[in-house]
Amino acid sequence: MSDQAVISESDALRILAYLTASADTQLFEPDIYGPFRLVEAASQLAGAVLDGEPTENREFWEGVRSSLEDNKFRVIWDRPGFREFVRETPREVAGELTRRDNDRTSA
Amino acid sequence: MSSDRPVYESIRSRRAVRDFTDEPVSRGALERILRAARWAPSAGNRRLHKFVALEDAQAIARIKAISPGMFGEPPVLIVICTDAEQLARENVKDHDTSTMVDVGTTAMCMMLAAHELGLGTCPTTSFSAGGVRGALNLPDHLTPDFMLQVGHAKPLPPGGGGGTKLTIDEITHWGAYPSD
Repeated sequence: MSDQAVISESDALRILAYLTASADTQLFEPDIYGPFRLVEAASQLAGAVLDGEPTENREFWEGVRSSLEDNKFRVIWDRPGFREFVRETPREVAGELTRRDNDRTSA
Repeated sequence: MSSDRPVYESIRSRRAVRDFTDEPVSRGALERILRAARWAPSAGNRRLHKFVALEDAQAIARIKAISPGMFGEPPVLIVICTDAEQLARENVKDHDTSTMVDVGTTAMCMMLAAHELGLGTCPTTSFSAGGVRGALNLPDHLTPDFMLQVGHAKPLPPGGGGGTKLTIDEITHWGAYPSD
């Protein structure tokens, strides 16, 4: 697990703005837009990490960013596929958490 | 029915553009789009709107940060605001459905005017009104109801654009709605 700080304060502010604005718009927008906005925010977060040029775990961040970008607009044209993607993504991220915990334990 | 008027073709060929080039939009083009807004149908000729036009990339980026419906980076953003003071002068009690219809007709006139100029537009309603108020320093009597992204469209990828269009038979009942 890397403790390297890679997100700039300005990127954090931009993501904060996006999340709080999404909380606002979600008061009146269709429910399915909630997961869509969170997927977009997650992609922005991964993009911000990559902009910080992390020296560790770059492959993971590139993979998750690519996956989020490639699948987010399925909310428009493939809603069942989008739901499946949303349900599967946490498993992959949790797998990364587990892998890193295991690496730390065995180190 | 055929016509030598290009309006129908403009309506048919307009698309929502979400990916813009860096090419700027001329002030003349922008003013023409805003002039088109003045000709939009307005219930009771109430003329409820004020417009805020943004050309500064940094200012547009600030709005984008609080607008989940904005995916592109347009060189121009026009915010349509409904003026509560004008509502009061016209004795309109609420910012109701009729006022939102006026927003829609105004936006459509602007989108078609932009399309005629070879510009792409994207209607945007997914934004935090409070956030936009703050970012634009809007007075309390102006409500940001709609944002129009304007710019030169990037070419669509192969197979992109279009979308499913319903047939007339799917959406129309002639004379009256049929009983079960």
